[in-house]
Amino acid sequence: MSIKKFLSLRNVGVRFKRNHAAGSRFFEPLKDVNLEVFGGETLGVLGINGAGKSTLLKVMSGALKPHFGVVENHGVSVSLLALQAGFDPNLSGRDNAIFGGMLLGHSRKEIMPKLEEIKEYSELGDYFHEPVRSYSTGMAARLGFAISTTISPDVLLVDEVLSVGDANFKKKAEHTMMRKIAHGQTVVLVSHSKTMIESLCDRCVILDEGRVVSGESVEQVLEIYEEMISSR
Amino acid sequence: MRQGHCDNAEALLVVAREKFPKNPLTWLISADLAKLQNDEAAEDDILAQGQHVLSARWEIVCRRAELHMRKGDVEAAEALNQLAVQQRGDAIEPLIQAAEFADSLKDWAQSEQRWQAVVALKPDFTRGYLQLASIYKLKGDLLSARRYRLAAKYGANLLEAVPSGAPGGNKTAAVGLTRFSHFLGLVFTKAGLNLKSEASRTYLNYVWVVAEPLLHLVIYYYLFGQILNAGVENYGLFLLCGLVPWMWFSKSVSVSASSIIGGQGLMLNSNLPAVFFPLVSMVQSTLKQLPALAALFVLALLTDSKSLTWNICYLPVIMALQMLLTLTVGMLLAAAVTVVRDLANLVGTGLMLLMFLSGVIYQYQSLPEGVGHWVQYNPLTLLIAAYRTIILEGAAPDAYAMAYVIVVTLVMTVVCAAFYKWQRNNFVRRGMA
Repeated sequence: MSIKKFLSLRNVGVRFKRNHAAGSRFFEPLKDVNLEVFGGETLGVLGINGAGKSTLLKVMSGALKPHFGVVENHGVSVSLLALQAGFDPNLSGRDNAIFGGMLLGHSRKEIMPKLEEIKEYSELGDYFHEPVRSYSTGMAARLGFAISTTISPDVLLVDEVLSVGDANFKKKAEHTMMRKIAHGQTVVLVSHSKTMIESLCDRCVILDEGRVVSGESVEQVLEIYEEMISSR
Repeated sequence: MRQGHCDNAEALLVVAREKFPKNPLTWLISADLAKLQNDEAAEDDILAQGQHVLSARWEIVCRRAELHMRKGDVEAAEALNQLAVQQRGDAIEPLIQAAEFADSLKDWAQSEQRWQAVVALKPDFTRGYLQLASIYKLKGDLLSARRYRLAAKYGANLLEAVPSGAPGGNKTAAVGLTRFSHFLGLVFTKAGLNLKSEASRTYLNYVWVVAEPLLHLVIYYYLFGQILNAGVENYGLFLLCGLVPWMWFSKSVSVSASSIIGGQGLMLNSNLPAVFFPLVSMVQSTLKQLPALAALFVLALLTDSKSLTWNICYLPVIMALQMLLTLTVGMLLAAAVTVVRDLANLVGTGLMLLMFLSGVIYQYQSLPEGVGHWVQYNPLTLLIAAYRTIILEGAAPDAYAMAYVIVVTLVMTVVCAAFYKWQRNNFVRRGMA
């Protein structure tokens, strides 16, 4: 298999001004990050809360432009698996699915025939036509996941997403995800869970206070992560 | 036998073989005993007998193949295995043995083929997937290796094709015009859905969307036009000609002002440009005010015969101009609010002040010299005057005034475009800080 670079991050830094001057004037979720994403791989990014994982995904998706360094996209489509981006609680699940699908790059014409599929997959039944405000958290997450399964970008960015809904749906979501991965979907998976990364990823790095720590193999990186956590 | 009494065991097995010659188990246990005694010749002998008696039951043939493999006689082993495969019926074990033979001979192509045959017949045979995964890994086909590794863990249907959307989807291919039309589609869909959302909060739903501006219209028309008219002829219609376009402007601007701030979450999770949000606000407010504009038009036709001339054709032009002007004001305000959020609180007051400076409720020409001089530089004043000229007098709007409005609008558009281009990267960052 030829290994093709999909995304290259070079010396990427993100810095925000602090609103309340406590300690340093800036807070930097990412510092001098160098990372490559290759075609077909599943890259795991481990890190504790606040290590900059989500910021990294936002930089990769292109939504957030880094303050330093460059993000080079080698002509691929990247999209963040955002479960409830832009849900309007007053609208029905169906209407939210239409907009959500369009947001992910479908035209209105393309999304219409998929609505039934989304309804089916989300297991919402008649709730699909009720306003989202009447949904439980799990139901909304299921709808979000169902919408997002309709797309397959070149690079899929996933942020702890597989904890969707109840045990059954979680299994189904996981299975769909696995199937995509099995068929060569390039995935960047961000998680603080070792087990998730261990079972899925070909390669893995740690994000520690905005810096990337890498290692030879997934096993080695997981060991480093273990030490890192226990030393805290 | 397990107790180590080989002689006793052998004696028992001889009896067993004579009594139950049709039970393959007796033959297999006998073979095991011979194996335990390291007597390969006896083992082969027993198995050959068993094979003969049971007319080549696969269990025994397999066992014999294994024996030959152990002895290093590959050809004989393979031949026996082939026989077992032919006799196997529904059993999968001979196929597994065939694959294992290929593995032990390091004949990976053969092995791949045979394991594939195994998992094709028995999709939940985990070891088969793992073997295939390691074969693919040896071959350097990491993608297939991963696919089979995952299949071993999550089940065989993982290998089926992904149901929708092949990787490398349509987004990279979408360029230029397609992208633009998709963006517009998104704007209109969102605007429509926002209206729906707004309507869904009330019992009468869409009725309110139409009724609210119309109620305004009726109240002003009767209150000021019929009861409180300050001696101005046809004051009701005069007032509405100012108020309806003004309401359009002010609603659009006030909705736009906080639109980018409100859209931060969406912007972070998708690659929507900031301009999306004021555009949606504009379209949304326009759709909402259209019934009022139409009602004004109908009212004018019904009550005032002067309004029906060819000059009515200027109306869409004036409206388009107003729309563009409103959009630029809304966009600049929305951008300014992201920098200094406090501005959002001033929008309402500012709009009220602007209303008095735009000649909405009076004729700007009737103002005292000092103020009136400045008010005529307000493009909104001129636009409202143009509405009045067209509707009340049925005349063409003042060309110089319109040229001035066009110039102001164009300048604003350029400023707007430049500002958004310059600040493009900062809209999202600000929302996060």
